[in-house]
Amino acid sequence: MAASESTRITLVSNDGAEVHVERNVAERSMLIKNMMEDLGEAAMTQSVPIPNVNESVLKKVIEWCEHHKNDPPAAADDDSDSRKKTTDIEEWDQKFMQVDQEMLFEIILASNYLDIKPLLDVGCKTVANMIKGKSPEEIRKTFNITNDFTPEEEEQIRRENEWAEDR
Amino acid sequence: MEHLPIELRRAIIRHVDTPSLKNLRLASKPWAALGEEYLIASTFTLLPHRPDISRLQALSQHPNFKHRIRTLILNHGELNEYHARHNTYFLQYMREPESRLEAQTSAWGTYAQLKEDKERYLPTSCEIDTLTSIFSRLPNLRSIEVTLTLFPFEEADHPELLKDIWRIPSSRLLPRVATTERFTNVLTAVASNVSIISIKSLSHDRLPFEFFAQRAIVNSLLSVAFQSLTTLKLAIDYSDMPNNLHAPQAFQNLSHCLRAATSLQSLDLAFEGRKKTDISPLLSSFKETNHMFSSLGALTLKGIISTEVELGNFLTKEKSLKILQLGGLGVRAPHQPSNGGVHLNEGSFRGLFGRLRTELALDELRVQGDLVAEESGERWVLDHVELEERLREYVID
Repeated sequence: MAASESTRITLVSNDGAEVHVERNVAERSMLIKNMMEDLGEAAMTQSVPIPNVNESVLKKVIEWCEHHKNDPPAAADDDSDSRKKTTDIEEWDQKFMQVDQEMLFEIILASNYLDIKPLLDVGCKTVANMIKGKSPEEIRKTFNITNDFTPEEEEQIRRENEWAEDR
Repeated sequence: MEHLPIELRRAIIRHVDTPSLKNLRLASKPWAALGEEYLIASTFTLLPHRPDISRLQALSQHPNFKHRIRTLILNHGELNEYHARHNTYFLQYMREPESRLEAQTSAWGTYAQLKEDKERYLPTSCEIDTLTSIFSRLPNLRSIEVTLTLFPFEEADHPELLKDIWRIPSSRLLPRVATTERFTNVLTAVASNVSIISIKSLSHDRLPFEFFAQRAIVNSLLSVAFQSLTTLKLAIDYSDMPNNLHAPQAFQNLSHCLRAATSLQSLDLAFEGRKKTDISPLLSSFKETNHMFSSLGALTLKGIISTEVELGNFLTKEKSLKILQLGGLGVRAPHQPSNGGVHLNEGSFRGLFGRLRTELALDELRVQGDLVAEESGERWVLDHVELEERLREYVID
């Protein structure tokens, strides 16, 4: 194992850029990890295409994987439908996520594609925190959402909302 | 965010708290629709000081929300104000008079409003027609819990002091007539909807024993509500007055209800009162009817008195039992010893446990509370659940 940990592999982004990365860092991505297992020795010699992610996003994602390469494996996924109320994000991740909205959503898409669950969580929590405390109008402004309600429809949603407990 | 695929939008929503979710739903129609699934939890709690029944009614009339609700918790907890005020004094006697007075004034000030609200909403929260029509529109309702012992005032602005007093049993009111009536209404509403809802789990944590002393015809209607149960948890409050008067009939009815629950997998039956309740009439009714729970895997009996032979005869017939617990914590203030155990007025625990071990294939035999065998002199008081095999030290008076 010790030998393979320091092995570097080559990823190729969808815009053709080659990105060299330590294998154990890249394997924070379950997609890449599974690919490596399938490819076996061949993975060391040939480059791995990542067709859904461009260079700048791929580099950003690898930066995250680099920082988190020694994290313990995530606990087994709990009931994915249950609401998770905590939106605490560790400091380094908060700084990491201080990017423009386009990049933020690119990171979310890439972490979903590459199957990096903890990064996806950080991304989603960051968006959730951007929603928190905002009025409907402020949410629309922040995310460029068009208000397509008729007054009656809006009233209906308001009424439904009242039936739910605030906790 | 508008370009994210739907599963990623869901992933975001799962991290959004309810007040923000409400605002997000008001941003646009797609978000309103997506947020709808996350708005209503599957467990709906009715508190005594809120008009929750109207909210539940509204949900049951909504085409989607009515499918969400699987569990109802009906909190009917009320403070026994007289005892509670006394208990406050004992809780606080170590504190400075000034801060003591301040905490009291604030707690009872808040309570006055809660009480007023409770008096407005609680009496109408369990009307039979309302419940019947609501249950008929909740096709996924599976579980009903009625509680008089869970603290009802949990919101952030409710005073801590009330919570502390609530831990002392005498602070919690048991209005016997109203409690019996409410549970009767709940079960009647379930029974008249058996073709629509199938209740798997039922619990009541402080049910007056006279609930089972109702007329046979009422009881046989109520027993219908037990038919689909797999889990039943009842804590029955037994008080000599009035319960001694109608005990034989009530035990017959209780037996009838339990026997109606033919698919029961887990039964937790506790008796609470000044002394242990002799369940001999219940056990002999099971014997006479040659009853056996065919799939009962877990059984807990608390607060009872019986004999080695009678209890043993009943238990060893339940061949599907895997986990058996005799005794529990009982009803007690935090500093008091546990009192929900099992007493034997004839025979010994050594004999009973030995027989259970040989005749049943139990995975676990657990004990808790005060276990006393009057004849043999064996006696334990266990605050925690213990495995029987750890009790090798037979304590004899």
